[in-house]
Amino acid sequence: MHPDLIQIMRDQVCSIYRTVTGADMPAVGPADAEPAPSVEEVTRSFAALEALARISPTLAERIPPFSFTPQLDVFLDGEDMLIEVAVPGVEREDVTVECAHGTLVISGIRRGRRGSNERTYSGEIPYGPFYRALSIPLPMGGEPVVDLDHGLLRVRLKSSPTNNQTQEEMPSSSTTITRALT
Amino acid sequence: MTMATHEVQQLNQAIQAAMLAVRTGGPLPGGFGSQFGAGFGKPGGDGAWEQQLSDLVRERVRDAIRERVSEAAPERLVAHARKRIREAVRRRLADDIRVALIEGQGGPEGFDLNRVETKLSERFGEALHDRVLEAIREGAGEAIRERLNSACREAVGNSVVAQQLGRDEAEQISSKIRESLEHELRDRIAGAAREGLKEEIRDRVDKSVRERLPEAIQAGLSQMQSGGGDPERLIAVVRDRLGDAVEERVVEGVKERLREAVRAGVEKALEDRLQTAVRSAISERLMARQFGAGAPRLGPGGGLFAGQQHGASAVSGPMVDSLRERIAEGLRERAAEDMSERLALLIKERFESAQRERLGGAVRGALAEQIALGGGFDPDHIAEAVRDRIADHLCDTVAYGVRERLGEILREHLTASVRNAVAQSAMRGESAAGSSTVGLH
Repeated sequence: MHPDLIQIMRDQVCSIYRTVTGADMPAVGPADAEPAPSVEEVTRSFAALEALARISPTLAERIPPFSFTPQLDVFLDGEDMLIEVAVPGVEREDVTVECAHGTLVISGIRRGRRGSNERTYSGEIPYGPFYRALSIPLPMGGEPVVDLDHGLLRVRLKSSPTNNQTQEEMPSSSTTITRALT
Repeated sequence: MTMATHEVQQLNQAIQAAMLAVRTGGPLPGGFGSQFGAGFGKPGGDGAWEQQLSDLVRERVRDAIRERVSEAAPERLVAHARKRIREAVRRRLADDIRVALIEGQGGPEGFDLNRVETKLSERFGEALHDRVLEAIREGAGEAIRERLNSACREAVGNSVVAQQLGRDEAEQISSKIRESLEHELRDRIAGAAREGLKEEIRDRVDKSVRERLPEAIQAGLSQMQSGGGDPERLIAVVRDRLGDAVEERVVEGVKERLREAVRAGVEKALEDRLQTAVRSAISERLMARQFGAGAPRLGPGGGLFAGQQHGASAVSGPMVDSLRERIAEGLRERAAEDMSERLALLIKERFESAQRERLGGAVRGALAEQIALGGGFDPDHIAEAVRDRIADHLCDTVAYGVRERLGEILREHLTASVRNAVAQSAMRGESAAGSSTVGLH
């Protein structure tokens, strides 16, 4: 489990609470004797809370979207393939890039204003986990070269004619949080 | 307990606290909850937010309807009633005068003016009452619709619902409330008018007849004598002298009583129906938002809840279609046949009862009229006279009965059909399929 993600989810919950009540989330007491809920149960409760909070437009506009699929551009640069992904405010160490079986997977976490007690009046920029998978149309080889500059993640894939790749089904965006948690 | 488990547990507790705050509007001033006004932030369980929204909207709608509908509807209804009263005076008064004059001659001491007055005011009073009720029944929908619409729109549009759910949602909620209330208001107003106007109209007709009839008959008799003894001249003069007075008095009485009747009908309808109408309109829209409409703003390609929203929306469509089909099928199978049988029985009962109560008197009256007017037995004239005496009563009694019985039958069958359709859906697991899309997979 990724402890940072739990903290980010908690920040989102506190942000919802603060927006609703105008007060900070009261200190949570020591865990009670009841068995701890599973990660999946908590994730479901979190999703239910988000959905409930977004019923009201007034609330929705103050709570930034949680989790997202970043936009990307793909270029052919000579023999190489260059992928640029928009991940504003994301640190390099929070991004993972994997390339296997003909699929490039870019995932990570955009941390919000962690632990901030500020009240949000408008929250449009999504944060939390992000995930994007891309089928590579051409045979590529070697490790992807990754560079992050001014909120733009650049991934360069080298050409490899001998690399025989298989296509994998594109994962759905709803699996983002589950993947990030594991 | 590991660190991760402890954090998950703490996150869960925080989620529960936030969930409660969202549902109840928040316990502290200065937050989002304070926008709901005083008292909104009381803690509650599931549905507390919806209940409190409904309570606030209900009071606003109640005030607006009281103010708009109760004030405006009587004026329009009086205008409708006036037309019908005038029409009845023109078409029917002469016949009723003729019959009353004939019946007045049948007393033990010859012509009995008091008997003429009583018979005329009873018969014409009843006819006017029926006409006025008909006018109110027909005109009530139109009289309240516009005001009801504006009252609901403004009440919901200026309420916390519009602030929290947006203008479009407020518009849809107000239109649902209006739809639910319109029939109830119309029926209740007509019901209250039926009770409240009966005595008033009869009293007014009676007073007018007793005040004007002796002098009108005197004038009519002198006209008749100077016109060669034509009894129709007598009747025409009496009708002219009586008609305007009756019309004015009855309209005045209707105006006075109708305001009170409309107010009582509106109150009754609001008491019986408003709470359900508002609650179900709000619930429906909140459900619609939660299960499909009003998708939250997310990044390109959607985020955490994008799949969930589409999934729920996709499932709720077939669910609705399936329920609709089952309900329609249930109604087709059971309601149509039962309805025709029960309505046929009712119409037969009403005809028989009208025949017992009225036909003998109508035939006697028609024959007496023929004898008094002279000229032998004209079958067409007798048929017309009998028809005039019972047609209106028959029409009214059958119409009332059919309307009431129809409502009863439809309520029974709709409830049964909806209940069966929902039970079948549940057995086939359709609702479970719907709920399974809620949440994260």
